Amino acid sequence: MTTALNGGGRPPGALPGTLVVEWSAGRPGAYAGKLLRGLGAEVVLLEPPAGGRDAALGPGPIPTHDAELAARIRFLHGGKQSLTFDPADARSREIAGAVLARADILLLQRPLAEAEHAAMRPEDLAARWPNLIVVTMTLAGLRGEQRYWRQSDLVAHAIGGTAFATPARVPDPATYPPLKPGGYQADYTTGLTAANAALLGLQLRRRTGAGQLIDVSAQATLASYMRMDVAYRTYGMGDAMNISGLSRQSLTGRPSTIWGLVPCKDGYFAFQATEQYQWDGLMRMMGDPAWAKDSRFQDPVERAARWDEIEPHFVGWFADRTKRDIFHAGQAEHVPVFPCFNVEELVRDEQQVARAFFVDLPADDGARLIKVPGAVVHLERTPWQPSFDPPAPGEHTEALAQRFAAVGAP
Amino acid sequence: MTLPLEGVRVADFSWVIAGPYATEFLALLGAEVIKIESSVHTDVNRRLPPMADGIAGPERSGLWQGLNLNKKSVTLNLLKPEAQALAREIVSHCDIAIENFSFGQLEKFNLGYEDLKQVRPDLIMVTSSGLGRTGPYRAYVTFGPPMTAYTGLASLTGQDGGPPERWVGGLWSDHQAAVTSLFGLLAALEHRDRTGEGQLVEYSMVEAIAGQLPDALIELAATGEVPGPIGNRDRGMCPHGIYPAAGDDRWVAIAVQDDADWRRLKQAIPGVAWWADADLDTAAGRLARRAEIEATLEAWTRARDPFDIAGLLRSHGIGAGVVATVEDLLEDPALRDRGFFLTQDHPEVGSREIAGLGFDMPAMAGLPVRHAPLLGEHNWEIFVEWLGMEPERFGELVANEVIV
Repeated sequence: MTTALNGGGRPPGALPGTLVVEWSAGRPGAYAGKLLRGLGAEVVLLEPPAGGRDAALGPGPIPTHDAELAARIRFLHGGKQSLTFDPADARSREIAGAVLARADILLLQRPLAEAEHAAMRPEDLAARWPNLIVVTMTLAGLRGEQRYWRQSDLVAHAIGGTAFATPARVPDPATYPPLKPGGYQADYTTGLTAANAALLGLQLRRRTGAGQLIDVSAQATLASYMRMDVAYRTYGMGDAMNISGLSRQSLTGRPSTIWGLVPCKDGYFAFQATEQYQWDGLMRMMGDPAWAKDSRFQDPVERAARWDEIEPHFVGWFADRTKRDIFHAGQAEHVPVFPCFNVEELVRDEQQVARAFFVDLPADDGARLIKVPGAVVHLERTPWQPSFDPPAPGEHTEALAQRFAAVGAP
Repeated sequence: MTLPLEGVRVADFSWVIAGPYATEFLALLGAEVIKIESSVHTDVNRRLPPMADGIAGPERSGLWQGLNLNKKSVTLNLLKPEAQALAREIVSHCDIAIENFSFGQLEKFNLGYEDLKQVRPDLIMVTSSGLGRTGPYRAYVTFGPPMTAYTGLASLTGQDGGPPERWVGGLWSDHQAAVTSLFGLLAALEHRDRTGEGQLVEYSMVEAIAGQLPDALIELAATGEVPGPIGNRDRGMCPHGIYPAAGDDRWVAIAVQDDADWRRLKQAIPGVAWWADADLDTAAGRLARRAEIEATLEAWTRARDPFDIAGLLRSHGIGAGVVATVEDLLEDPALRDRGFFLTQDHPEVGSREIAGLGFDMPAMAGLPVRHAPLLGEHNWEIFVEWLGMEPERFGELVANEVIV
C-alpha cells in the first residue's frame, strides 16, 4: 500500500485519523500536542471559558509580553482546534465527554487537584474509556503525594539531577549555585517524552486492544538522562560525577576524556578529543607545539586529568583566531570542534540555512517573520505537517458538539 | 504482560550514546534488538569509565552497560564483504535499522538505506548525524558535549550575565538526540503498521537540541536583543532561583510562579515585615525589587535543611525541590516508588543499578531486565540458531575473522 496525497497535494503525516485531546497548563502538554499534530493527528484543546493561555504560556510582566505570548501560542497551538471546557457546566462536560469517547489519546497536564475537582482524575478517565490512551505529565509522577506537587521547569531540573550536574569545574561551590539549562528544557523534554509515550500507547493498543494510563514524570525524564552519572556511583567510581571527570568540589578527579569550552578572539569554541587521532589532529591544527611533546600529555586519561595545565596553551594560541576559523580548521583535521554560537548566529549559520531547519512564524503585527524551529525529525514519506495558525479560544466548540453529538453523554 | 513493542525486531548499528540509548529504550519495551558491533573496533564507550570497581575492561563500563540493557550482541568485521552480507541478512529479518555513524560510513559498507531496502522493502531506517545528512557541513564530525555550544544552548546556560556554561548536565545533547529519534521512529512504525510502508527517518543532533529553543528566538525577535544566560532566574517570575541551604554544597530550588504563589510564600515564611508591601503583590513589583527579595530568601534558606525547606514550601503549594545530587537520586522516594532504577545481573560485574525511563505504565510492571550483552555473546544464537547457518560455516567465518 502506498501513501496517498492529501487534498493539498502534500503527503499526509503519520497519524491521519488519530484524535488527540489536550488539556494542558503549560509547555509540556502544549508541546506534546504540537508534536502529535505535526504528525497529522487532529488535536482538540480543552480550554477554560475565561481564557488561560496567558497564565500557561505568557512570559510575564515584561514590555514585550503580548508579542511574545502571541508568537508562543502560534508556535505551540498552531493547527489545533479549541473546545471550551467548563467542568461546572453540564453541557460542556457532555461535549468534552463525547469527544473523549471517540479520542485515541488524552494529553493531561493540569494540576492534579484541579483535575480531580473537575471529575477528570486520570485513573477514572482511563477506567471509563478503556480504549483511551491517557498520558499524564506531572512533576514527579502520579504515585503518592507528589502527584500534587507544583510543576516547574526549574524544580524539575533540581529534583531530576540535571541542575546539580550542569556546571563543571565550578570555581567555588559555595558561591556558584547549580544551574538549570537555559530556556525551558525540562518542559519541552517532558512534552517530547509524552509524545513518545502516546505513540507507544498506540503500539500497545494494537497488540492488546486496550488503552493505557501512562505516567510521565518530569523528574524521571531528566533522571533518565543521568545514566552515566548514576553509573559512576553504582559502578564504584563515585567521586567523579560527569564526563568531565570533575565533581563540583574537585578540580581533579577521574577524567574520561579531554574537552572544553575555550575563549578565542570573538567568543568561545568547544572541542572534544576522546580518541588519540582526534588529539593528534588538534595538535596538527595548532602547529605541533613543543609543549605537547611533554611525556605527561601522551596518555589520554592523564592528558584529561591535566587539562588545567593544558588549557593556558589553548587560551594563548586561540586568542587571535575566530571561532569560525577554528571550527573549520578543526573539522579539517576530523576533530569535533565547534563555535559557541548564540541563537542569532545559529539561525544564520550556513548549515542551518542549507537545511532550512528554521522556518518563518508570522508575528501578530503582520509585518515580521520570526525564525523558529521546524521539524525535529524528517520522515521521508510522512512529512511534518506545519501550522502556525492557532484557534481562537473556544472556536470549534459548536462544530465539535455537532460532530460528536451522536455519541451521547459520558 | 504484553509490552508495547513485542514482535518488533531492530538491527542496531549505532554506537556511542545517542543511538544506543534509543535502542535500549526499544529493547526495554519489548523489541528484540540485535547490536551489530565488532571486537576489532569496539564501541568507544566500552572503553570509557566508569569501570566497575575501577578495573578496566570491555565488559566493565557502566556507561556502555547503562545504554545497552536487553540487547543481543553479534560481532562482525564490516570491512569484509561476507560480514556485510551477513548484516544484510540480519536486516532482512528486521523491522527497523538504526545507525549513527559519520556521514556516508554505512554506505561504504554497502549497508545504506538504498542497499537495505533491497533486502527489506518495508524497512524503517533511522539515520542520524551531528549536523544532518545534507548541507555543507554534513561530513563534519561530532560528539555530544560540544554541540550544546554550537546550538546556542550553552549561550543561554550560565550564571546571570556570566559566560556560557561549558557543560549541560546529563550528557544533554546525546540523550536529547536519542529521545528525538524515537519520536520519528515510533511515528514511522505507526505508519508502517497502518500502511505496510517503510521509510527513512533522518534527524540531526543540532536540530534535536535547537528544536527546544523557540522561546529564545521569539525573545530575540520581540526585543531585538540576543538572549544570554540568566542563571536560574526567570524573566517574568520572582523569586525564582536556586538558593543555598544548610550543609556542604546543598541547595534548594524555589519557583514562585504567580501572585498566588507569592501569598503562599509569605504564609510559609512569616515575619518578613517588608514583604507585606503592596508593590510586591504583583510580579512586576517583585521583579523591581528582586535583589532584596532574593537576599532575604537566601538568608532564610541558608540556615535550614534543604529537605525541610522543600517540604514546607510544597505543603503550601509552592513549586520547590532539593537540588538532587546523584546520591539523592538513588535514594529518592518518588523515583524508588515508581521502580525507576533497573537492576541488571551481569556475568562479569554482578548486580548493578542503572537509571531507567521517564514514564511508567501498568504494562511495564515487572519490566524484564537482561544484562548488557558481552561482545559477541549472541553470535551462535543469531547466526546458527536464527539464520540457520551451518556450524562448520560459522567456524570458518570465525577463523577468517568475519565474525570477530
